[in-house]
Amino acid sequence: MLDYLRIIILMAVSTALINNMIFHYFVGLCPFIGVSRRVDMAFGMGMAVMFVVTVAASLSWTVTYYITSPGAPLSQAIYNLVYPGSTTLVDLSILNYVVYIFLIASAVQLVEMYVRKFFPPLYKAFGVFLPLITTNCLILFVCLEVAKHIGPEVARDALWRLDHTMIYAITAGLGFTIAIVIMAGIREELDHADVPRALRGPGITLVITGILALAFMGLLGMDRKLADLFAKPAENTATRLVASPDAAGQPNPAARAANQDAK
Amino acid sequence: MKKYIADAWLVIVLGLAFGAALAGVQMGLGPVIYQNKLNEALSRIPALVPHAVQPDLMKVSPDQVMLREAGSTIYYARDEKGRQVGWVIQAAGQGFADRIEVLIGVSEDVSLITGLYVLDHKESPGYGDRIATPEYQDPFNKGKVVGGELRRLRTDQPLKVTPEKTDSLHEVKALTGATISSESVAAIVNDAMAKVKPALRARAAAGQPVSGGN
Amino acid sequence: MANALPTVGQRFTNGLFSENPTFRQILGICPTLAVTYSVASALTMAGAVTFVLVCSAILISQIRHLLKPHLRILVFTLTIAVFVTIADRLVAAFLYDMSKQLGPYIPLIIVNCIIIARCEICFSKQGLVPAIGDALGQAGGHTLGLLAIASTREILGKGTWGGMSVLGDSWPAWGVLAAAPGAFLTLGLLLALVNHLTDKQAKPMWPFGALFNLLGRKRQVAPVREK
Repeated sequence: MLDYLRIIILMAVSTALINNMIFHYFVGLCPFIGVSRRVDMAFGMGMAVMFVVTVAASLSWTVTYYITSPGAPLSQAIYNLVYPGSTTLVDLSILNYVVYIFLIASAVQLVEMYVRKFFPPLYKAFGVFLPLITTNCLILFVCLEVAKHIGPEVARDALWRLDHTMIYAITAGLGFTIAIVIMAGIREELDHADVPRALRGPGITLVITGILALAFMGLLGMDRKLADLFAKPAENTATRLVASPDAAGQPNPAARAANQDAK
Repeated sequence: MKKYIADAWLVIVLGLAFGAALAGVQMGLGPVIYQNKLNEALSRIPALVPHAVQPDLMKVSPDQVMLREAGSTIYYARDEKGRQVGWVIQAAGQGFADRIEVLIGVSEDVSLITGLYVLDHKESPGYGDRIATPEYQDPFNKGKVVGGELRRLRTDQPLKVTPEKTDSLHEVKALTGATISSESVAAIVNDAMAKVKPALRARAAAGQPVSGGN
Repeated sequence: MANALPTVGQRFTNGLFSENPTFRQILGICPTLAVTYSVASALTMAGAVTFVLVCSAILISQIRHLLKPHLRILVFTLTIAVFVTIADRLVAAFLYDMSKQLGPYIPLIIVNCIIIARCEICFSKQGLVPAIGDALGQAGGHTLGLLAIASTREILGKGTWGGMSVLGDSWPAWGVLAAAPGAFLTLGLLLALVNHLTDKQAKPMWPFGALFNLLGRKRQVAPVREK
């Protein structure tokens, strides 16, 4: 239980703050520049992205894990039914991009219908942004990250389960929300400033983003320090998901055994 | 129903055509991409393990050049005559900025580290990215001069990162201004050793390590 | 379609200059920023975008009379996604190092608004020749934009251009320009430069005038915020 909490905290810090979608990966910039004029709109956009990215990432995890990743159980089972005794590894990952883009489009539709039906106030708050999200790179980026952590080529302790995927997606959306709300706050104040003609609009927004990115770079390495802080002598392999193993000073059981060998 | 099909026939035809195109691309380029992936690691083997040669994928199948043990990918390092001279372990872990992926060369009995190569990293330019330079890697690739003699790092204890140069064969010097990156790589090595050593030792005990040689 | 649509030549030059995707339309900036830390990766990216644009132009302009209005976007998306997959595999097969460096940014071409916007504006309305002209123009404009940013970042950030030493070893290498913040700063400032050079109303003394404004000599009343 405590280990699980540790995974969540480490993943959240690493995804939302350090490897921030905007400042580190440059994804989701179109809405970041387009909808960051006012704080309330920016917050609505952030929430909408968080919502959709979670749904889309969960859907794409399911499809990737069971169908398109190399040797996925469902497609492998069907293949073995048709060709019994074959040892070929079924690999449908070439379909990934096509599948993801349609999953995202349907996730957006789904979320829009659901929210409009059951949460009218919420729909009023961020419903207008939902259709715009289909072409938000952030969502596709998160789906691609998910695909990178599924399959036989991934080291066992880096594999993602559905819950890891959801934590990643939620914190990715959170990072985006933080970035866009900060930006909107600055731009509201900027209305009172005399910006040089040529820089007005996207120009000054990008320059400010650069300065913010510089500030966020100061957080680099924090996740490793946090991991060391949390680390316990008896390492659980599952906790290596985002964090690296113990620092050199704390030998784990296998190393200790090897140590005794040497003596 | 008929109306839907009449409406969507173009999409269906396009879908079929695209499906065929993708299948063709996969058949044509899939093996090339797989080869590229393997070659990236295989071409490093001679530099990572002394006397080892790069296996020719044209002559042997992938499972004759690598094995999967304890969740890691391990490549055989063999000399010209096909004798086992060491192993190359592919390992990864969290660095300062992002995941770091390395290849570690070890001697046949997994007691010495004979080489290190950084496959992939995104450490900060000018600081952490020096983990990919001789400044950091020399103790791994060349060994340390102890008492006038060049000796390899040993794996019987976890590696430590120290601020100053020492004579110990279990310590490497940290990069100035990039302690975390230096520690990350050492931690990846330690972790890989802890996981892989028992498995490779068991293999040696079962008399398997030279199987598959040709 | 009351007015005559632009001809091939117009489409081509518009894409290069007056409708430049990077500096005028500000489209597809996510990959633009992510891959411009070196000229080599920027050129690979530009090549991939060109491939997808030209292929989509050929296909969409040929089937434009068959498109149903409500299935239009679906067909565009499907086409783009398939060509991006092919481009991605081609890069992975023949430029493996580049494909490792560019990572997720090649698949992200799918959601690059340049391509879908061109499908909607030009490819689905004009024949093969204007469509290809437009695709090449937009791709050329995109390449120019990427090259401008990548050259600035690589020369100042590492002292090299495409791997060749330009500024010599004595250059202190402004590492920050090669890192993430440098991407935003470079694009922001280049955007301002382009705006300034193409702005007919700008006063010739612009940099000094702006400095004086900043120093408070001629502070203007803040504009009323839009409601």
